[in-house]
Amino acid sequence: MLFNSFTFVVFAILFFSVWAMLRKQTHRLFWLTAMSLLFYGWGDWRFLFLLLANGLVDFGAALLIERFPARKRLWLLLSLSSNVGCLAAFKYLGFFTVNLNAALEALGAGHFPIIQLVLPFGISFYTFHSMSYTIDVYRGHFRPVHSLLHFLSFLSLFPALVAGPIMRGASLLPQLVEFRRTTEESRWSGLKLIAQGLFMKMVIADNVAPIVNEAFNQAAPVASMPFWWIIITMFAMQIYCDFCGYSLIALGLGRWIGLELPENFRHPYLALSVKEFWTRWHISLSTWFRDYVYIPLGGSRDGSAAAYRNMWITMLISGLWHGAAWTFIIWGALHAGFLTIERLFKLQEFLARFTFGRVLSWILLIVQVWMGWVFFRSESLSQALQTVGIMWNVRDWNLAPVAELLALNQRAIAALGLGVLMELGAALRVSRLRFPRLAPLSIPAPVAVALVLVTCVYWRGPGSAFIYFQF
Amino acid sequence: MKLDLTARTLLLAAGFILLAGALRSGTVMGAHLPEAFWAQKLLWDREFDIVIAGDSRVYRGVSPEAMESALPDRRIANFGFSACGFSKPYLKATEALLDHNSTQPTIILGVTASTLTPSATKENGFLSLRKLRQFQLAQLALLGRVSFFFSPYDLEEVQNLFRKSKVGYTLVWHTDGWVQSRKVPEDPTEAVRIYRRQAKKARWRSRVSEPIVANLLETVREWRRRGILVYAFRPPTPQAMVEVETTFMKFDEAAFVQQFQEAGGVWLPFQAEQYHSYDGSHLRDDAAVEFSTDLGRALRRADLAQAIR
Repeated sequence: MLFNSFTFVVFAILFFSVWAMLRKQTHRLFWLTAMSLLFYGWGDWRFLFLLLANGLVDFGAALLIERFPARKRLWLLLSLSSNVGCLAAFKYLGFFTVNLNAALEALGAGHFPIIQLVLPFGISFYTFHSMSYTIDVYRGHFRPVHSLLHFLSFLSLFPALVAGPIMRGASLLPQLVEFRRTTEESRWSGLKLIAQGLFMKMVIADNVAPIVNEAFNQAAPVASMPFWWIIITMFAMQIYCDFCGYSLIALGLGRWIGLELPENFRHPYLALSVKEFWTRWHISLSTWFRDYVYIPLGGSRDGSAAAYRNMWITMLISGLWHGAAWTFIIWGALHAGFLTIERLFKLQEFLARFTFGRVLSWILLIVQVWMGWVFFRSESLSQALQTVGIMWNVRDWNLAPVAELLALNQRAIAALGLGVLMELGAALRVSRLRFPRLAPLSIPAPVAVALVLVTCVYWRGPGSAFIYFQF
Repeated sequence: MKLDLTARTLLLAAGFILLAGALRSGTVMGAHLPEAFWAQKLLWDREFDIVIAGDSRVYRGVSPEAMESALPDRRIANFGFSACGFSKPYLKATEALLDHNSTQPTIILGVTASTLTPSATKENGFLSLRKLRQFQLAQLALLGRVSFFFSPYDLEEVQNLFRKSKVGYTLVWHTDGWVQSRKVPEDPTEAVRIYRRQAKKARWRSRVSEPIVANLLETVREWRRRGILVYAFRPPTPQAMVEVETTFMKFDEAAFVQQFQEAGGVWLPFQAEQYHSYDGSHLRDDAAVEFSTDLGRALRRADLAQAIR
């Protein structure tokens, strides 16, 4: 079920109407879990079995860790194998077989049949929710929950189930023990987040998406350098507004239930270095990788060479997490490469001392991130390489496709402009949470929020699923 | 009961949304065609004496109501779909709408170059709807009006709210299958440019295909064997478009007409320049009414001629 669908509006009305009437904790947990499972099973009810089976294994493994601490490593391994095994089977089996067959073919050997299973949406997110739970129990960060209902409500929490933010048991489970009473202020701040999230997704991301899709669906890339810089800028805005929009809606819905979910984005395109970018982009995932991959690998404890190695491994896995394709792995590798250069030469630290230097740092960051997005979005490695080639070929200064793009896609250009203005506003320290006040226009906040919602309905782009659902 | 700020804001938003939907004129919609109209065409449970098949030049250019003025007591349906070619499933569905107990079950084909190309027979408005299940179609037909109410505004629509005279498409969906349409300002070369670009891009997919023509002629023979009268005409379109269709899309009208007549069909010729097109392809609503009346008259004459024979 999509947040930006009519079905979800009906779902939300039903959920919150009943929720407001429930007083007992168990009733609320039951209602939340049942509706979360309905939310997930709406698209394809068969995937519910996978979600529940994974959850049961982790719930059981955590209890066994508590009951038999001497064998806790074994129980953790059981949980991790189940989670990673599911991910491997559903997400990576096809990719692995294709590449294995290519290698075997090079050696003149036979080949395996390619099995490509249907990818259950959100599998990467809920698997990471679940894994963090058993790992934290194993590490003794908190005691496992003894109520299956309590655990399932954590695992399947509908606002964050399919596209994050990736939840941690330590922060969420206590909130599910006793739901906080929502206040007028928390409901209002929740509504503002939801309105902003819907606006980012439906008005900006969805209006830009068709142009980006069309550019990448061409059999041969358009040979124009400025054209591709505009397209990649559009994609950068699309993916940011799509994903950040989802996260904001999740945060807002959480507040309506009385839950505080972690912030997932902090204006990443305003960062001045790749390192800073990763403290602002998909924060719940980058901290997950830091805590459960980078640090267990040794982090920076064993000297700088080991730190570089660990960082590369983490970034490559992060790339693979996003999708089973070489383009995603290269995207991860590119960011690892940029981070390595940053650490080695410390250019950004030097540039940060001057105003002009900071502007230069920002431009450098944008160029690096945009290059990464080319690989992230491309349908194939060869398309990505061709696109990068055009973007750096000054002889491809063909303005005709740009003129056509600007003339035929005013709506998308307007959406891109809105996205840029929004970030510019943030750069000028207009707090995101105060946006609906629109003080200079003297519009009362409720009217401003209502107008934002009207815009979402009547100025929305050709709606599609959230990009991160596929991960 | 005093509502809190969130509830008040949501109610205000709901009010604004209803107001914005109501402000929209029922006829100006840009590219957002009401799904209900198309779904309804596939769900017609009525039978007709005459069914007209073809692409957008047919569903915009032929008004059954206007035809009926020349052919009283005949039940006529416009079964045209967007970018629709004469594929086997489409021809079968066209026939299925006919009342075989009618005194003169008649199929009229609006033949454009596009209707005989691979691209229009593989992907078109008819086939994309036909993929849907029956309940999905019913849902579309039922909720289509609601979804239209909430469909996004386009730039021109917003501007039109503040203009005295409207700019852009004016479209009215008729229950007999005709889409009454006009565009302000008119651009007589618009469609020609698009067709030329598409023809260059898609090459063979945009050219008239012999197997598709052969299949159509075979179906015409079959219909004739079963006593169905089959007529065809080329929907009136400006000369520039005819040239694009001849040069780029390789449509040889004379050869086609000869084959069609040999298969048992009756070709109805029209003077294209008599009817006004707003975009170089489709007829403006007043021209469509005029043409439909002429089509009705031509059919009556042809029917009489057949009866005498």
